[in-house]
Amino acid sequence: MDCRDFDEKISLYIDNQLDNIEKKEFELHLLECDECRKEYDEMIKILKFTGETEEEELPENYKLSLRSKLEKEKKKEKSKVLNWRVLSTVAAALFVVVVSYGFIINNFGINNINQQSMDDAAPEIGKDYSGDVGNSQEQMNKSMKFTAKAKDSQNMTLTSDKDLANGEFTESLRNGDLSIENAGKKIIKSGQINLESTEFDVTYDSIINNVKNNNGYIESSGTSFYGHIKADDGEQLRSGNVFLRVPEEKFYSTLDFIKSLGEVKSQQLNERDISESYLDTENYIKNLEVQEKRLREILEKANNVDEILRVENELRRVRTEIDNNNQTLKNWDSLVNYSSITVNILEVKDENQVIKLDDEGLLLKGKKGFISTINKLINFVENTLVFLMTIAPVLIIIAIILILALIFIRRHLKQKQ
Amino acid sequence: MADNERKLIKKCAKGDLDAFEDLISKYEKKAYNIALKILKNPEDAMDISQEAFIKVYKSIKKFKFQSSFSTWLYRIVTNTCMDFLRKNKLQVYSLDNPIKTDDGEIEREVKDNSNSTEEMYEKKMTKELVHQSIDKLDEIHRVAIILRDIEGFSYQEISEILGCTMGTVKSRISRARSSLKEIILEEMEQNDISIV
Ligand SMILES: [Zn+2]
Repeated sequence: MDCRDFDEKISLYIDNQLDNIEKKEFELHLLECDECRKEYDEMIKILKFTGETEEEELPENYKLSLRSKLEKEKKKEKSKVLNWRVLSTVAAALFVVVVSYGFIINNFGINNINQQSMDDAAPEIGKDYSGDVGNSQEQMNKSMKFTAKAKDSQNMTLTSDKDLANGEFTESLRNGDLSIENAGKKIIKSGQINLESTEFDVTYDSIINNVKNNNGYIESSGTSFYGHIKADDGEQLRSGNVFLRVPEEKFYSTLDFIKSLGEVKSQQLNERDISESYLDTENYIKNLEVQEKRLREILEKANNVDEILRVENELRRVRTEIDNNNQTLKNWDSLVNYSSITVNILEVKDENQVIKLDDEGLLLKGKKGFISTINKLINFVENTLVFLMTIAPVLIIIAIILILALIFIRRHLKQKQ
Repeated sequence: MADNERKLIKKCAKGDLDAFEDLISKYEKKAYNIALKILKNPEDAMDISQEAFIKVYKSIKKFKFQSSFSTWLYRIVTNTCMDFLRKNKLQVYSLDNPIKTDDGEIEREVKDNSNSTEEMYEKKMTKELVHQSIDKLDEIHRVAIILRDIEGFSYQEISEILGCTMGTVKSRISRARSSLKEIILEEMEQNDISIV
C-alpha cells in the first residue's frame, strides 16, 4: 500500500469498513510510514472533537408550537375530506340531472332546430375548455406542441448569452479550419443543465447509461423529495442531480443527448483556457527540478551536520513543491480530458404543461375562438331558456330530486359533527 | 421494530395526535439537532424540523414498515433541510462567514498565559475550530459528517437516510472527512494553532 492508497482508506479503516487483507496492509503501512501516521493521528483527533458535540436541548416552546401546527394540519385534512364528500354528492345530483336531460331529449324529441344549434355549440365549448370532443382534441395537442416549441426557443435565448455564444464559437473552431491552432490548447469544458421531466426515472437512468456508454463516469449523484406530496397517488415529486464527467470529445454530444431528455429550463456552458497557467506550472516544475539537482550536489559537498540538515530541509521543501505542482498538472489533465456536466432534474407533473398564451398567433386564435364561443354561448343560453320552458314540468321532478339530495348532504354533515 | 411503535404508527395513521406526539418524542431532539447542524441557525432548525414532522404526520399512512421508522423519519428531516437550503442558497452563503478576527485576538492573549492554561485554551480552540470548519463544508459533505461523526449513524442507516448506495456513502464520508481536515489544517496554519 502506498501513501496515497493509505490516505484514501483512513476513513474506512477508522469505521472498520475494510476487509481483513486491506486492514493488515493498512496497519503495516501505519507502522512503517511516519508521514501517514501523522495524517492518521490528525484525523483521529479531528473526529474525536467532532464527536464531542453537545446535543442542544429543544427550544422551550418546541412541543407546544408543533402541537398547534399539527392540529391546524389535522383540521385542514378533515375539511378536505368533508369537502370531498359534499362535492361528490353534488356531482351525483348533477349526474342525475344530466342523465334525465338526455333521457328527455331522446324520448320526447324536443324541437329539431334547438337540438341542432345545441349540438353545434357543444364541440366549440369542448374545444376551449374540456378538450373531450374528438376533433378538438387533436387541435389541442397541436397547440400544446406549438407552445412547447415556442418555450424551447425562448429558453435558448434566455440562457446566459455570453457563455452560449462563446460555446458556439469554440465549437465552430473545433470543426473548422482553425482547429489546428486549438490542438495544443488546454481547455476545461464544463456545463450545467437544468431539466424538467415528467418521467424522472427514465431521464435519470438514460443519463447514467449514456455516460457509461461514452466511457464517462458519475462523480456524484443524488435524489431527494421536494415540495408537497402529490394529491393523487401520495407520491412525492423528486429532484435529482448528477455530476458527471465524459471524455472531452464527447462533451457536446452528451450535452445534446441530455437536453433531449426533458424540457430544458436553463443551461450554461463554460470553457476555460488554462494553457498559459499550465505552461507556467510546467516551467515552474522544471526550475524546481534544476534547483533540486543543485541542492543534491551541495549536499554531497557538505562537510558538517548542521549544513547537511539545512540542505536536507530545503531539499524536502523543494520535493514537496514539485509533488504538489505535479498533482496540480495531473488534476488539470483530468479536467481537460474529462469535461464535467452538472445536471439538475426536477420531476414535474403532467398537468404542468398547461397551455400558456405566450405566442401571438395563438393569442389571436384564442381570441377568435373566445368571441365565437361567447356568441355560441349566448345562442346556447337562449335556446336553453326556450328549452327549459318547454320542459318545465319535468324540471319540477328534477328540483325535487335536488332538494332530496341537499337534505341528504345536510344530514350527513350533522352526523359528522 | 418494537411492537409498541407499530401500534402507535397505526394509531397515527388514523389521525391520533396524542399517539403521534408519543411516537416522535424519542426522535424530536435528534431531529432538531440534525436540522440545527445542517441549517446552522436555531430558528430555521425549529421551523424546518417541525415542517418535517408535519410531513411525517401527513404521510404516515404510507409508511410501509419495510425500513425502520427512525431512518424514514430522519430521511424526511434531512430532505426537508436540504430543500430549504436549496431554496435559500444565497442567504445561507452570507451566514457562512467565520469570525476570523476574533480568533486572532484571543490567540494573542493566550501567549501571555502559563503553559497549562494555554494548553487548555488551545484545546478548546481546536474543538471550536473543528465545528466552525464543519460549517464551512459544502452541504453534501456537511450532512455526511453530521450523520456519521456527530450523530453516529451506521453506514447502513446513512444509506437509507440519504437514499444512496453503500458505496456512495463510503466515498462521501471519506471525502467529507478529507476536506474537513483540509479546511481545519488551513485554518490552523492561518491562526498559528497546533493540534493538541
Ligand atoms: Zn505513507
